[in-house]
Amino acid sequence: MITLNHYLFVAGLLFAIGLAGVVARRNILVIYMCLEMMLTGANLTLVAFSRFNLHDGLPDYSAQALVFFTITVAAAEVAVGLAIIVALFRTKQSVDVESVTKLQG
Amino acid sequence: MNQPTLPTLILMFPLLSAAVILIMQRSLTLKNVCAYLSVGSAAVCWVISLMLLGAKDDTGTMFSFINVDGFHGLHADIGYIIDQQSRGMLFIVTFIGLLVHWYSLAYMKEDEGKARYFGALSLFMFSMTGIVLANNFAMMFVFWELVGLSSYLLIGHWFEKPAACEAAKKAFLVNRIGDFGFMIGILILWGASNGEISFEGLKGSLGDGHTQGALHSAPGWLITAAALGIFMGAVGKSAQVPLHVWLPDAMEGPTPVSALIHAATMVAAGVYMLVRVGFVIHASETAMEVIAGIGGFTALFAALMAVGQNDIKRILAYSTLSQLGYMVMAVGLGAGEAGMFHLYTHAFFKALLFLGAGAVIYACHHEQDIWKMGGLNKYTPATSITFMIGTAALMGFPFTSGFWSKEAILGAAYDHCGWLFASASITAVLTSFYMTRCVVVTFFGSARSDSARHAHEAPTKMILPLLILAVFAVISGYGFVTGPLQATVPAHEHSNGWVMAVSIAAILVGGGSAFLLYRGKDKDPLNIPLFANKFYIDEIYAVMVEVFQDRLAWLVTALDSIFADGLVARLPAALACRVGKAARSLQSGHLQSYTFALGAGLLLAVYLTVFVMHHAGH
Repeated sequence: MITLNHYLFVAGLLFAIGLAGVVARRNILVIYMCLEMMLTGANLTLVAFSRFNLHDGLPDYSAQALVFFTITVAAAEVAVGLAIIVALFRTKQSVDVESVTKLQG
Repeated sequence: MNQPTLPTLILMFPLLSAAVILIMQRSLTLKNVCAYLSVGSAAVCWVISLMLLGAKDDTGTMFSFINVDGFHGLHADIGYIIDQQSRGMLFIVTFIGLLVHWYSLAYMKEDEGKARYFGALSLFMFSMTGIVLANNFAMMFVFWELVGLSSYLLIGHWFEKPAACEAAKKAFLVNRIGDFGFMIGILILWGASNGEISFEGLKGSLGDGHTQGALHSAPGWLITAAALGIFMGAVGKSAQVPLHVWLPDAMEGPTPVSALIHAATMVAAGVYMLVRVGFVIHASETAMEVIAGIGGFTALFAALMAVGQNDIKRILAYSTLSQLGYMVMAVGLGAGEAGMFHLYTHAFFKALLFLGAGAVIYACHHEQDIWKMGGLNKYTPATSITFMIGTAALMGFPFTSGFWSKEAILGAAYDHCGWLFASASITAVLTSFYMTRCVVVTFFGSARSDSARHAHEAPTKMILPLLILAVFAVISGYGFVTGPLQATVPAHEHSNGWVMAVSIAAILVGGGSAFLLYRGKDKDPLNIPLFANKFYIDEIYAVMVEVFQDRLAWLVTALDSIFADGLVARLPAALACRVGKAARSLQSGHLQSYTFALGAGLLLAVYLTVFVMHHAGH
């Protein structure tokens, strides 16, 4: 049987891989994609909980609605984030995150 | 005028004059105004001192300065005391001060720093008046230091000359050493008498038969220590051995300054103070003996050194040292009035001698070596005669004022201590010797150099004070003068025949031998390096200071580099650096490090919330 724990495990895995990618990758666009992956993990958690915690035989639709919100916000955030990355590229001429060290103290 | 205002005026007028001159002194056009202002204030002070001669004894407060209660308490005020001693001293200070101011108008006529000079002179008059009027130790000490400051300013008047700057520093520093002892003496008295610092209070505390206070029951050694501490102040100010080294060097200052400060008034302040606080000194036998001994020794020592000097001002400086030794010796022998009497007559004839020397130097175009003078009898008769009158008074020639005062001191020595009488007599012989030497070489014979050949008499402004002082040098010993001028005269008990004989013999022996030895000579037949080089004391002090200072400096440097430098400064700095470097590594500017830290922190928060606090709650 596929239980809640299986879904949670997969979602956690997604989140962890995303986090690892954010910390360890050098290309800023790849970091961004891993960030999205973390969001996906969170969404999957929400849906899993909605499907497995049944109220009177029906799933908890509020969680699924929240997933829609999350996806929308993620999309908006991508727009803004990509704009920042483009601006950064214009100054640095590189997508290497190692080149952004102006704040080094 | 009511009583408190006269002393306040006599104290404040010169201060006012000095303050105004301080403001005006840079102006090139107002230089003469400054000079006249200073002379004017000196004249006013003299008139006030004349008015005070007839006033009754009084003591009071001008301004309340410090008023602290509590443990021992301290009540020091700027006050005044008018009694016979202070009236007489005020007359001397203001009279000779006025004559010196007048003389300086001519002597310093072409000097660039004229305004500065008169400002410092006014400051000096203020300070000296303060010492004379002081009715408590705190005020006396403050004005003591002020007098030292004025002396520094005046000795170093020609500050472009390095010798003058060195001399001024030396005077001030040597004085400070004496003042250190003075301060200790004052503090001992203050502590032992439970807070008394005024002379009246201390006298009462010591006990005069009727009343007694805490000081009466103080242990003997404490009183001796206090007396010796206070005497140290006099040793510094009145240039006794071993702190005599500043006075000959102080001759770098202008001659009127030497006349006023280093002959008549400031150096006499030590003697004045000793007589003023005589009740403390008399309470300790040991202190009296020490004082008399040092005084007698200084007198002899300085007279020996004077024999080898060739600069006219230096001869007079050592002569002053010697006479101050006499005065201090008299105080130590219990004959304080004789000491004050000698102070009073000495002020007149020594000022006369110095001003005369100034006239001679002026006449010979600023030549000070007596071996380059000679034959001035013909060229400068007035200066000659007045100088010789002054010399006669100094030697103690019969019927001059110096005769009476010196005889009083010799009498006191004869009565109390044979050794000191012998030493004082030998000093008298030496005094006659070196002064006659000075007079014969400077004024008799023929001119030894061009500057002497072209000598001319000094201007009237300079001659007038000389004449006035010459008159006083002769008459000031007699009753008709000492009475109105409130001089302290010892009671003429019996004129001791032996003392008189010795004193006259000293004049004949000393003066006669110098006359015979130096008449017609062109260079000094006597050449005693020990005397001429001042017994090498300056060199000894220089070595002592160097050695002591080197060792002390090494020690202080070591302590400084370990503690102040290392522990207090470098250690915290190094710590701050290390900690800073460690903290800096957090701010790498590297985006992913920040993200990592964020993630780790988040993980920690989740762990704590879920696994630790959750369990703690349940």
